[in-house]
Amino acid sequence: MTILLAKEMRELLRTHRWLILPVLFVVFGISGPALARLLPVLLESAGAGLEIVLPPPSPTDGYAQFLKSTNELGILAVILVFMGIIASERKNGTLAALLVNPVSRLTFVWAKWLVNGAYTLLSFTLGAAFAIVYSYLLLGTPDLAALLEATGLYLSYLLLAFSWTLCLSALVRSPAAAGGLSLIPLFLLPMLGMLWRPLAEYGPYGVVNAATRLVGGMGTPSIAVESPALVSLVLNLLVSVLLVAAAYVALRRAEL
Amino acid sequence: MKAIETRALTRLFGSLCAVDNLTMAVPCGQVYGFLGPNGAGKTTTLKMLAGLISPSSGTALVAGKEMRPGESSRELRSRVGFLAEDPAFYPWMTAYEALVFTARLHGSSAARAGARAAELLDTVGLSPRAEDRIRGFSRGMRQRLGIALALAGEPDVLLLDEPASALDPIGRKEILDLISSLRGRATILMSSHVLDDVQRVGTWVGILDKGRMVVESPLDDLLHRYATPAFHLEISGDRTQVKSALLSRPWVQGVVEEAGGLRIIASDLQEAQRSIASLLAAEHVSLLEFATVVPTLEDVFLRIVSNNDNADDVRAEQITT
Ligand SMILES: Nc1ncnc2c1ncn2[C@@H]1O[C@H](COP(=O)(O)OP(=O)(O)O)[C@@H](O)[C@H]1O
Ligand SMILES: [Mg+2]
Repeated sequence: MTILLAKEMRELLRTHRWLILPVLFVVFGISGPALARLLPVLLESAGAGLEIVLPPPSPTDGYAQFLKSTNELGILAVILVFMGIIASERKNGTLAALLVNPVSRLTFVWAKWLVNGAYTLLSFTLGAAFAIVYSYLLLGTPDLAALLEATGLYLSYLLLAFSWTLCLSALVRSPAAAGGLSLIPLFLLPMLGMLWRPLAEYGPYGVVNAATRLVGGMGTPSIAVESPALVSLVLNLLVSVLLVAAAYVALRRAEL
Repeated sequence: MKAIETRALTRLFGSLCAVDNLTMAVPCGQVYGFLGPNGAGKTTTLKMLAGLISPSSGTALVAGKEMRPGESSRELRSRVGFLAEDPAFYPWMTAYEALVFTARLHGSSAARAGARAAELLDTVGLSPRAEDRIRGFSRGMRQRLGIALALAGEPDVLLLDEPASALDPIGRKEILDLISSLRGRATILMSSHVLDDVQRVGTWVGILDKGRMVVESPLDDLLHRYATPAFHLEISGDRTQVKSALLSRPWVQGVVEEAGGLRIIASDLQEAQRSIASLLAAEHVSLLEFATVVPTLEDVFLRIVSNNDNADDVRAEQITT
């Protein structure tokens, strides 16, 4: 196991993939609060003569903007970075070269998940830290508990998105097809949530909705996290693990 | 016990039978040349032996144990080294790292793996490039690294899929010399569609055609069995006249014109050697060269594979009529 973990880590570093997500999330983390701070100023100067009365930005607006960017582009980046995580190895023959050795396919999948999952979550956490610090600097004192809870909730959704991509990458031979399929629930989940309320509360997207509410100042932090969101969080973690198991099942008998 | 064995091994791809009821056995310590034209099913067979794909039916055995994809054959894999037809590597690794990584996967300690890697790099002549990323390696270097990787786990059995076929003559010679030097360290099953390669390093041959084993035997036996008592004759003078004179003799079975002279297929070897001189003297031609034809694997191969084709044609005819 440790040998494969070390290999995944070294691959992450050597291929410079390790830079992509932290840089992206840090950019979101800085631009979120900056935008929230600058938007009223920009609007004012643009509509000089008009009477636009904007409420001053709330200290959590910056983080809300960060979360929005993450949810729109960050997830997309995660899918693009990882759609080939197994499919590419299969396509270019390195998986066959690896598996002729006495290597367990289960260990292979777990090592991929552990290293790259941790990398994804750490990248987002780093971005969130930047968002929080810059909120303090630019927007005043935010409700820290709310922001931390939102971060925690969103991490579970991010892990699910990553695990889902990894699973499809094991199921589908082409990295592009795996990426395409990974995108589908991204659009489907919020839409279906609108049609069927419980899905929006308890389903995978429940944590995202709850996090958005928290940073919109509508939650009551500390006891804040509503129980449906907690259910959603636990489900996300469970389903993530199940997706890794599914990836293994897909690979177990795979022809290489 | 045979080092490598297949029993009624069959593999279908849809309706195509890539390997058809194949039974073969590779005795321990041999360099077995697994010959066959492109598409004969060599790669498919080797992949089944390496546990990368499953047989449709039948079994592939290594060291007497069944090899199958997945967990059940994990231990067995530690005894097998495999070189793919187009070997793939992690391009971001250095040659040294790739070898250490593979040796570690086979259970070596870090120190042991490092020593093994250095030793193998030396064996395949890649020591000067040990610290270079594989990304920049040429085809020949990749092939040599592939063989080193196949050896990294100290396997009893080496499966090499067309190890020399994609290389230029120098690269090819290097690889074949390398394979020769491995004789005795492991049982080697080496596929090839190049007869000359097998003839240079092989001790056993199996000839595969359309997924079926056509002949399997020690190389020398095979050459002997299919040896034709033939001579190559070069003369100055009128060939056609000599040809008809030869054909009238009872010890001549056939005469064909070939590059630079005539090939005589004799029905009586001794009589031919005794009488050829007087025949040429009688025809007033001078002898430039007279040599016994040593059969090559190519001769054998062409005869066997074309026989096989004929057999199919006959069958096809029977069906149509
Ligand atoms: N994955 C595959 N899917 C479909 N057909 C295949 C596959 N692999 C090999 N074949 C077919 O099986 C036959 C044998 O192929 P192969 O084992 O690669 O032959 P060789 O290595 O002797 O050239 C060929 O007709 C080839 O097209
Ligand atoms: Mg082949």
